[in-house]
Amino acid sequence: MIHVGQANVPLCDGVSRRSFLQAGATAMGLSLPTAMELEAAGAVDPKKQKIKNCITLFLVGSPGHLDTWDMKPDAPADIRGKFKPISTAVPGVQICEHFPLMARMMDKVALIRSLHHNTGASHENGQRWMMTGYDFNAANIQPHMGSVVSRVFGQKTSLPASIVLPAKIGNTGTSTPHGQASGYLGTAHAPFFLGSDPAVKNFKVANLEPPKGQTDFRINSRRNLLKQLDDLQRRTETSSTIQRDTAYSRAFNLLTSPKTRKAFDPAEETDKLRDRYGRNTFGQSCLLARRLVENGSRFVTVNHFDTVFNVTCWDMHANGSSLDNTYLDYERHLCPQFDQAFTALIEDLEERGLLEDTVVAVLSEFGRTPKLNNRGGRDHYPPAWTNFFVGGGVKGGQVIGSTDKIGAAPHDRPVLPPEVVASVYTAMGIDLETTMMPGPGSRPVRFIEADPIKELFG
Amino acid sequence: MNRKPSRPTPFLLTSGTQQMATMTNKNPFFMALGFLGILALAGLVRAESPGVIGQLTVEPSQLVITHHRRGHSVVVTARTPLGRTVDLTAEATFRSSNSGVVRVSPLGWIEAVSNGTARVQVQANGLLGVVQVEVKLPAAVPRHSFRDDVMPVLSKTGCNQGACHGYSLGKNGFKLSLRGADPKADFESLTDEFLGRRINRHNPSASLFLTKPLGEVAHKGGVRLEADSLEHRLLFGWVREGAKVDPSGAATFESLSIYPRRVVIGPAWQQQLQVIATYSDGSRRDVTRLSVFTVNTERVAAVTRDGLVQASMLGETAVSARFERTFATAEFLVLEPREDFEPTPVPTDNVVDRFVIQKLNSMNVRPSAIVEDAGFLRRVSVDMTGIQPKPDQVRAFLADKDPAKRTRLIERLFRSEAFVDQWSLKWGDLLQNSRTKLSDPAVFAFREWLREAVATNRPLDQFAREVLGGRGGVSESPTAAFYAVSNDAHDTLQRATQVFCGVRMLCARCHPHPFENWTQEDYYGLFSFFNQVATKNDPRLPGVKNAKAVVINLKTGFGTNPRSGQAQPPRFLGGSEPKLATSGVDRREAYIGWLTSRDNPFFARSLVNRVWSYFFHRGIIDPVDDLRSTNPAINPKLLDALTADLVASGFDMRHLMRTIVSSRTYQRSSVANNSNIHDDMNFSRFVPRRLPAETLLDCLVQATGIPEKFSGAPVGFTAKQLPDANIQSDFLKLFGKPQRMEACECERDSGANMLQALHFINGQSILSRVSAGNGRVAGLVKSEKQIDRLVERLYIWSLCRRPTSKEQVVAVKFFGSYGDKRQEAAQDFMWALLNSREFMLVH
Repeated sequence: MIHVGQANVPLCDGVSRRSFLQAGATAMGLSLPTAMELEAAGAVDPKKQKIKNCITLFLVGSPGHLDTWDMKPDAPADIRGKFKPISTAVPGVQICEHFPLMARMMDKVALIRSLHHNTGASHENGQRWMMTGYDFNAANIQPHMGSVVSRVFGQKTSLPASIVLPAKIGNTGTSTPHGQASGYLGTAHAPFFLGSDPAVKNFKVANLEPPKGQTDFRINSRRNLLKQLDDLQRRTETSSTIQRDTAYSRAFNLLTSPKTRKAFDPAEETDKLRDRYGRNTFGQSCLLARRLVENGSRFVTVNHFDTVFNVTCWDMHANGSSLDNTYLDYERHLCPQFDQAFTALIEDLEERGLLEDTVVAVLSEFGRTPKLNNRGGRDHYPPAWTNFFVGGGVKGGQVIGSTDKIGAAPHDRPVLPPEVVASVYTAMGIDLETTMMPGPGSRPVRFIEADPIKELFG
Repeated sequence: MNRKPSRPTPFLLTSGTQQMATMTNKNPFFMALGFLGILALAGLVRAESPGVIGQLTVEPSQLVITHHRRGHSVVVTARTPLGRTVDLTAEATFRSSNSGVVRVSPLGWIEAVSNGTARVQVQANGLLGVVQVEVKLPAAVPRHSFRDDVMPVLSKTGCNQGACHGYSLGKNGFKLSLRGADPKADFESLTDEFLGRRINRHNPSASLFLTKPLGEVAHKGGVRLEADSLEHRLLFGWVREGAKVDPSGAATFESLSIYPRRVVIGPAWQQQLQVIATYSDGSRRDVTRLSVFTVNTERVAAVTRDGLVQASMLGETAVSARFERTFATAEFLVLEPREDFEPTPVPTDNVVDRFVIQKLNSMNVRPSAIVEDAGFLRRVSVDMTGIQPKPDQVRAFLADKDPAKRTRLIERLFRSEAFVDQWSLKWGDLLQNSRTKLSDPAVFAFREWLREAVATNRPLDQFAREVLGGRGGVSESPTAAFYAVSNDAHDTLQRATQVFCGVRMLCARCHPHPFENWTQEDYYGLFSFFNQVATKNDPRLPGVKNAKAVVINLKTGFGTNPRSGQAQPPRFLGGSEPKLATSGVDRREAYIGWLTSRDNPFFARSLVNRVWSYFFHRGIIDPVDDLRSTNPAINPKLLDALTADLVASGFDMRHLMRTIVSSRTYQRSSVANNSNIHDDMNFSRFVPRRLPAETLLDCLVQATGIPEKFSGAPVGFTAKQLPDANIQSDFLKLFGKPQRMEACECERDSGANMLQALHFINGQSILSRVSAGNGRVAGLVKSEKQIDRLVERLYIWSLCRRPTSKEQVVAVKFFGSYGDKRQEAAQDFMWALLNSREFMLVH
């Protein structure tokens, strides 16, 4: 039974007030009959379930699978591309020569080489599939995985349950949603978007900084005054006043608590470690992801790029204008940057004993066309691509599924995006067989309409 | 007398006491013991002296046993001098007058031995009671029944629930109908599929049907059956007897009742429930142990698997028992006795107050005082018109000496333009007027129609007739938009039923409703009223997005119930089927006629409840648009009286609102007293709620004098006047403005969360408004030289009241700390007022 009823407890003293605060974010906005309905449906009990963390690295733009983790060295030149495969720690498994660090830790990685989806090739389609597990439906915006986790399991510490680094995905072509919203779960469970670049000097979290021109004196003075006025207004506590107070205390906690501030500050780490991750936006975001998970956030998403236009990113159309990424960009920037940050993250998590409790999912929207286009680039290709999992108890050193000789379609064990989402939930410790979550109108629904990829779990 | 449970539940279907004793260790009563211990530590021990008065009540007092295996429980109760119920079942002693006819366990479980009559004598607390028992057994021991023995167990153990084998695709290859909706399919699924391995007729105990839930074979769903439990024995009995189909013509289950229906007890007391099924042959069966129990308000009480209710906190709750997809509900009131309690005189001048006070008196609760004038003015203005009063209105109202000034204020608010804004916004939300589904002209035409209906106070029955009777395009009928919003007849029937009857039918589309007795017959019966409606592109509006015309195809026959494959004739909610031709008539008319008739049990009642919820923190039934027997009204008499009053007024919505806002109940202070601090359900005090998104923004704009710019809306529109949610506004979205995708009140998110707080603390909505050079604060600083007067004006603009002397003291100190930077001090002071709890809440 989800214990959400605390929200309606009439609060008249410090004791019950505390018990409400402990009830946490799950208590917010869920009415009692809902609890009954969920119980009747065999819904999830956050108290009984130990929930692991998740870090998702989302490769916006999408790497070509043939150029990265599903190489076809025997295919014709205009298919196999420019890069060469190298051997890895797992005999028989090869990946691109530009991931030498990752190759050494392949025994921890579970590659899924047979991903595909059957809808349009827009970036947004792929983003929604991979971040929500659902196809687009304007009448029913599906929540981001992090929002689901926030809604069902609540906030663990003063950090938001779901955080997106370094920024929200912006323009990637069409105006349809990116799958980064909380949908019917309400704004309380929307991801917290960092909105700043942790790689810059004097990095500050945009959403947590006061607007320009505010002095410390005024900020503190306002806060003190608010506290005094609130105290003078305080009469009988009810669920609405408690909810409002909780929201404010969480906000101020985020804004002022040194511990929280530190969780957001990569400068707390040694230079050596920061260097290990890479002194760039992605590297420092990966580092921050670890810090945030360590400090109580449940679901951290790192977007490797927040647009595909006029940036060096995975979207390798080589079109000579605003989408002009090429092999050279992969070789010089993208692959080394990813290789460095990703492997640093895994090593760092492992050294701190966090890897077993944190599943890392590296996701993208789709693959790229098997045949090079006439400018030597590759275009969007949903029929086949590769993503992978590490940690959180996932069995590494394996390759799930494969594509045909030219990487044009899954050859065996085809995998659809909802199965990946189901696998994330399963790896986090949610039993999809026996638990449900509150859907639109709080009707109990299954977390996802798919089974997890069994092979991942040994 | 201590209510600590001393013995196991009487509902163990065992043949001897010895066995019972061995089962004691696993008994939930022992867990209950720990539970009660905790409560005792928390100071929730019973205060009343234990004495009981009068006689024992023994249920049943008469009993006919007609089945060898089906015994019957006895529930023994008595009353305290202060009217509370003491459950003596656990400590009563039982004796059969003729053990050759019936035997009775020490726990009161009565079983047949042979035909004849006997008495079971009950003794408890020095009092005596008796059960007259007649045993009329058939010649042969009846076989186990799939329908009556196996199906209830599949529900009780949760096998057929939505998360398990009741899921639409089953689980691990084994599918049961959700909550036992389809016994025939379940029988087949158990006996025919999987090469008969589920049932092993040669070696019954090796049947997967038993070994899996017992945990003898790996079962993903865990151990669901305890060996030798009642549930296990019923399943095993059926399998051992060959897992046979039930004989035709067997008596069928008809209705369910629960005892006791209404219980008044103290915190940490307990009460055993008894659930009785009645069959078509008139026989009655104790199905307590086969029922599934749920408590509506968990903080008030808990219920064990066997139907033992344990009260924890003061308050009230319904406890529902489900058996065979039918529900029976017992009401529990958990009270501390107050011998010194003086009932509040029951008012007769307002129907709301009359029934609220009656209820409060029955609960030993005194209501809070009446809210002071400034508080009332803000509350009623915000609730009726979605905007705070301006300072001149505040001052005038406070200065007014007329005793009838509140009444006059209410009438003035009815006449205001903002009243029209507020209530056309509500209807626009509920009827989903939005460009997501409708054309631009259709949205504005429907909006105008709604505004006119609100402005002229169109009677609600007429309103519903016009909304549901629309056809054609925008030019013929603005209300045709109601149908143009729907994807299909499913959508329409669900929306119509939810908006105008307060009933959610979605569940019954695919399976019987889990919390109500609605079936697919009911669902497709409604479907058949609306499946003649279709939308097509409106050729008169070429190139206009979403331009639709609603057409009625009179030739369309009844809808098909997918479960039976049969055409389902139109059926009203509640079961009656009007005789309607299969084609040639617009069947909507029959529905509209039924819906808006004076004695429709749903229409006026659901609207009363809905309107009530706009003025309080909850409906009389809550959630407001989820009327069902398992979600009872907190005050049924109040709801009945208001419903009758609405019908008598000719469905006059303003009359209803006037009755509500004129009541003392609406005008209570939100400050609790000693007796109502634990009551937040019975309207004994005003319970604050967050301002809705649009109201919050409009009040912010009024307080600061800096308007919000909405791109895509006509200049000068307030947040309440926006045509739909397709106007981009981060503010409104963050504070939960509904997108009009659902016909559910729940789509509006009225919770407070951290992101909203961050936005108010750090975002531009407040900071830039309070520091704007052309804003309210700058103006007031210029015109008011005296700090205390400046502070008073800031208070009145933001919180609609004068500051208290304590608040003035804080203010003076605050301004002092800014030295000569008065402008900055005033900005920051206003920032704090707008961030303070009073501003964000209706209180």
